[in-house]
Amino acid sequence: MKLSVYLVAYILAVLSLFVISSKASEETGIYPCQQCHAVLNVTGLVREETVHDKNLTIGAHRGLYCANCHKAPTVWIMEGLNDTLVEIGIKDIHSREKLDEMNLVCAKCHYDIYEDYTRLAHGNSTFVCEEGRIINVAGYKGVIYSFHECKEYSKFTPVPARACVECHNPHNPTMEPLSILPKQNYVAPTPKQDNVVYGTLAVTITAMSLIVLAIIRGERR
Amino acid sequence: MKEEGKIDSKKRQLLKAAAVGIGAGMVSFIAIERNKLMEVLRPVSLSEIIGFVEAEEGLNKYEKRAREREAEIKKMCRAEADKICLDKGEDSAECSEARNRCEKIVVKATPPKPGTRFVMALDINKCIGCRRCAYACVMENNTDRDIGIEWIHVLEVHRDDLELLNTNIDYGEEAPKKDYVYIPMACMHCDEPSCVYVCPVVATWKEDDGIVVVDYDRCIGCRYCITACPYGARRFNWKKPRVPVLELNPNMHILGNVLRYPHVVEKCIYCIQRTRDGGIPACVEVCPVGARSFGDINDPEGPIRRILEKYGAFVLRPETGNKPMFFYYFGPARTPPRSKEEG
Ligand code: HEC
Ligand code: HEC
Ligand code: HEC
Ligand code: HEC
Repeated sequence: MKLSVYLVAYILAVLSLFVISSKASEETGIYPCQQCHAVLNVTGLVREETVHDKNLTIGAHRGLYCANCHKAPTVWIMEGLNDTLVEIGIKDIHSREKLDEMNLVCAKCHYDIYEDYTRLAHGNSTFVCEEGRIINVAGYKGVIYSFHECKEYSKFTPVPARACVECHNPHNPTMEPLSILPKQNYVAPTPKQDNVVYGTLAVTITAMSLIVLAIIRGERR
Repeated sequence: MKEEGKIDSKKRQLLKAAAVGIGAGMVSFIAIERNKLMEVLRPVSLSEIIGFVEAEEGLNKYEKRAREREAEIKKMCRAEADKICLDKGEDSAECSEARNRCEKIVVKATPPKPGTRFVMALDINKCIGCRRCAYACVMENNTDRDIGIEWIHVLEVHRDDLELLNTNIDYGEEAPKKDYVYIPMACMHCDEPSCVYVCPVVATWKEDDGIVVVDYDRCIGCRYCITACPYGARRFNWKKPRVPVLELNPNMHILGNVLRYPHVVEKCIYCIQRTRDGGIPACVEVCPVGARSFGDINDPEGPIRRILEKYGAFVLRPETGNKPMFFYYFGPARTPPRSKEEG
């Protein structure tokens, strides 16, 4: 019984992995890079590249060459801090762990900001807990809120929430502003006064009818 | 004479009726009070008294209250969940989720860690005024959803001005504008908190780790503190707060986001339920540009030290003498204004 459940789960997981990866390569059509670059033998000393639609003559990274980051001719290998070499991690295709390795590429030239980042002073942070997971839910006024599900709500560890390339496009790194959410309430409105009004009305009517009753009784005597 | 006598008797009847009415009312009132008083004034045994004193002297007197509240809220939550299950069917996703939430509820009373001092820093250059922090805060802190209490206000002000009197909260949905900056503002957790000084019942105070908390059990709703706060950071619960069970945050702290009573004051508590256990506040987590940083100012390796040393900082309204512990700074670069064609 249990075994069959596991088996089904495993098959599903494999299937979904397959779907995801095929979808991603369909979208970009350029992964894995080895497909073409194993034989292309490029130098990387260009600023504009029409095949990949990259242009380093505009944007904040204007003036850099592809080879500053992509180690030519094996362009899927990236050059990072202290000559470390890491395989490329692409946003929307690779896992967060892989994208985190790309931080080292940025750190090569932006060491100061990288240190800010590792000290949680650049970029936003989140926390992780034991056996916990984060579920993003749409909440109040459309905000995407990270709901933390933990086994027990204690002993959290803060970590950076995103990798550099999730906020900055490495080929045009200035971050564009995001959508903005609906207006705020300036002053919280007071509750409806209806309840108070009805209460007062009820008391008044009861009192009046009591008085009338008393008068009628007096008349009868 | 006869005429007068008639009127007199009528009057007398009326008075009599009124007196009887009042008397009856009083008697029932006293009777009810007496029953209630008898409940309250039950005799206590010596062992109970000793136990009480020991609990008070023990590690954390809020621990006991937190457990009581936890049981209360769980009961309430389960009732709500049952309603949902009746509505949507026993095996619907909503039903199981609601049940799951209720079981997860924990009301903590984590005490401050000695030697810590929590501080937040906000990069005005990065903030784009998107208001995500304000709304994530509502989700995190189980704030009422009906009357629109939001702890964080995001204000727009001209870059050359930076005067709080000229800020605008109704800046619509085009932001960031050129030459304008956005200042999210909530409780500053001041070192000399004027709200604390005016509270007549000591229902609000500054904890050892720098968080200004409100004890909802003690608050009498006089709203002195709201008037005394120079930053307009405090909010009043005009009614019993309503939080849908499916949106309930089960991670609660007795001095933080535990469900509030009606007619108590609440405000930002630096997400005490997260930060006392090593986490970071919800606004810091949700910020899409990473404008906010949170940490312990006594930690030399932490983000706050780094920012204060590297970029410097300023506070809002220093002239009030409140010594706010919420720092603003102008960080590296600025996100460009929204371009015209984007609308
Ligand atoms: C469909 C084949 C193909 C794939 C897949 C591909 N590339 Fe390319 N790439 C090219 C071609 C063609 C050029 C242009 C070569 C030239 O101009 O000599 C190029 C040029 C480049 C250059 C510029 C180098 C230079 O000196 O001109 C870089 C950097 C680069 N590719 C990176 C990548 C990366 C990273 C990947 C994987 C994510 C990738 N490519 C995948 C075909 C491909
Ligand atoms: C500042 C370092 C840097 C420079 C310079 C640079 N790249 Fe990249 N590139 C990266 C990083 C990092 C990634 C992977 C991150 C991502 O896109 O998610 C990447 C990914 C890519 C990809 C695959 C993903 C995509 O966006 O299509 C291609 C293709 C690519 N680069 C081509 C180029 C070309 C061509 C040049 C030169 C014109 C160039 N790169 C210059 C850092 C750089
Ligand atoms: C080869 C060195 C180099 C690498 C590697 C590099 N950068 Fe840059 N970056 C620069 C230079 C040079 C500038 C321009 C600085 C200036 O104008 O003052 C710059 C500017 C920037 C800016 C400023 C944008 C603005 O709005 O002012 C950002 C953001 C940025 N880079 C992000 C990144 C990220 C993310 C990575 C990693 C994928 C990265 N950089 C890798 C050299 C590099
Ligand atoms: C949460 C999103 C986020 C993450 C993650 C992030 N940044 Fe940034 N970064 C920003 C914003 C917002 C700015 C300011 C606006 C701009 O210039 O784009 C900025 C500015 C910069 C600048 C310009 C600073 C200057 O002095 O002009 C650099 C360089 C930079 N980031 C590098 C990095 C690097 C390297 C990483 C990863 C280690 C990183 N960023 C991670 C959001 C982010």
